[in-house]
Amino acid sequence: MIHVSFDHRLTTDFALQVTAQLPASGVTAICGRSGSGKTTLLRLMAGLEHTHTGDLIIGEQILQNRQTFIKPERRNIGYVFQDARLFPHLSVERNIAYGYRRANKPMPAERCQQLYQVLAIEALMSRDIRHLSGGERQRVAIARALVTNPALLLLDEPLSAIDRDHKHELLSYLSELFQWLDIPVLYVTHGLDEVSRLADHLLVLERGQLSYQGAPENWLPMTSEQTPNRDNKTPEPVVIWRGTVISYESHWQMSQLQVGKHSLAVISPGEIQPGSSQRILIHARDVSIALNDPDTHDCSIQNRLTMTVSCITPQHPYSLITLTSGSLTLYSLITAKSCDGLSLKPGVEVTAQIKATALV
Amino acid sequence: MNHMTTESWLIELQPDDWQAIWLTIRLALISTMLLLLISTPLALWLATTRSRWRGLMTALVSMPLVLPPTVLGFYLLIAMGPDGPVGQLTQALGIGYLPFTFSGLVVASVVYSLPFVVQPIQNAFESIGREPLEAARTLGAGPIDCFFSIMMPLARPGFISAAILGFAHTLGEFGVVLMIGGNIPGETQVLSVQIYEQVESLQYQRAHWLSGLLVAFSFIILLLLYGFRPSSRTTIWR
Repeated sequence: MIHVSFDHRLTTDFALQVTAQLPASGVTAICGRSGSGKTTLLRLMAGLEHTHTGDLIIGEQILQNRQTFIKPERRNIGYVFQDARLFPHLSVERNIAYGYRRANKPMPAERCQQLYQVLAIEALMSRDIRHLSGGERQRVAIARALVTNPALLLLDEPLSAIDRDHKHELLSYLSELFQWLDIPVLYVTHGLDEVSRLADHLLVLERGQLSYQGAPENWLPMTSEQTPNRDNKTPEPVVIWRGTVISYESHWQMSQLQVGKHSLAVISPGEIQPGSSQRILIHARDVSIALNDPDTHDCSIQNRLTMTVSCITPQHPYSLITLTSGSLTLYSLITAKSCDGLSLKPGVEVTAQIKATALV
Repeated sequence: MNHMTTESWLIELQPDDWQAIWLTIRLALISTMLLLLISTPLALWLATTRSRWRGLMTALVSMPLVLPPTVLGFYLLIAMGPDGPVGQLTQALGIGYLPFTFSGLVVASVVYSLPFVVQPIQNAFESIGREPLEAARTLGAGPIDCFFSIMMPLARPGFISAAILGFAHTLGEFGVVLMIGGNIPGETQVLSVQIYEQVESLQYQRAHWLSGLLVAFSFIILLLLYGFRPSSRTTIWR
């Protein structure tokens, strides 16, 4: 268990007050809008920000409490900064060696080799860091932090400085890395696709306060304000569902996912073992509603789920429809005109249609 | 002058001219070395401190930029003399009085060129920012380790500028030298004083040679400093 408790006043109108128990394994995403205190929380944990009113205990080791303040260089916590912060006067290899040489118990050599393979950085070793792309920089920064063999890895929005085309690539590296890694990871992000793809556990921060902690699939951001901005589009509600893979069709690069009593077709770029679990992110925009089940095969939409309307929230010119089925909740954002045309009311049974292309 | 040959070039410089040249170079080298040693911690403190004494310290270090060298030399002469605090200290330590000695010139040069060495180093430290240092600390480097493994290498251009400026500035020093060192051949008679001496005694030809030498040498040094860095952001300080 990682016990975190901080009460840190940054300015007169902003204080970070967080108390949480984090699992000692897996990836915990810390999510929230800009200025919610995500980065400050990581900096406090790394000891880069000094506060006397804080506790940080990793397993048995007390890193900080009222009497103790372990300096950042002795905390044995890996930190990957948003802007990578590679040392410009050192090559890739010497950047990585910097932490390795200073570590008490660095990562064993054979494990380092595996790490370089997972992150595909062997070919970059002799390169000048000025000639690395954004994604390459982040991979080197991650390796540099991990070869010190830390007890905890902190990542601060590693995808934020990377262009859209390379985001997906780095996301695949991260996903593979986290499966290989045996230490807990705290991952700050405002991208919900990263949360659904990478995280096992979720903390949501709002103006310095913890507003949610638990499994990502149980988090229901009710209003659009609570959802972090996705790029520049209007904020919209999302849900994260977790399902079990039933089958995988390599020819179509798709898998069939069982979520509750529903079966969904989703795109899976890589081979997935049946029986493993997978999370999907469903944007309210990608869900449309039909009144009666059009049980025909001449429709391109593969996912048709029978659900019940539980709530209709007008968000002119849209209507946000909350749908439920068992313990599952789904949001659908349709135009107010369609909502009126279908005469939707709470309690009505409808068919929610989700394009499989929206589910990755 | 139109039938000048290499031999006549050498003939123009007398042994005491050469003595002044070597003395000047020796003074500049020793002063630059001492300046780098003193300025590095001072610049580090100025670049990182949040102390309220920072402004006072910056003003003090910058004084030689605006003071006439004669004023600076006058106070140094008083301070290093038998009734001055520095004089009493050096006497108590058995060193004797510093005015009219080579050591006195070194002390004066260090004070006189201090801002020229502190400023580029301070600028270099400031431009590093806290980002690489934070990264180094999370990788297990303590503050002293950070200084030698991150700050020093990243501030290298600043150190090179500082050394060249300190050296070049000491070469041209005149007023301070005259005030505290006088004109003792082999001890305090540096190039600039020697030129003054030649002009006083109407030896214009020798003064021409020595002055021309100083102009050429200074220009080459500054060309080395700025010529190979075509960046538009290059200023006199970096």
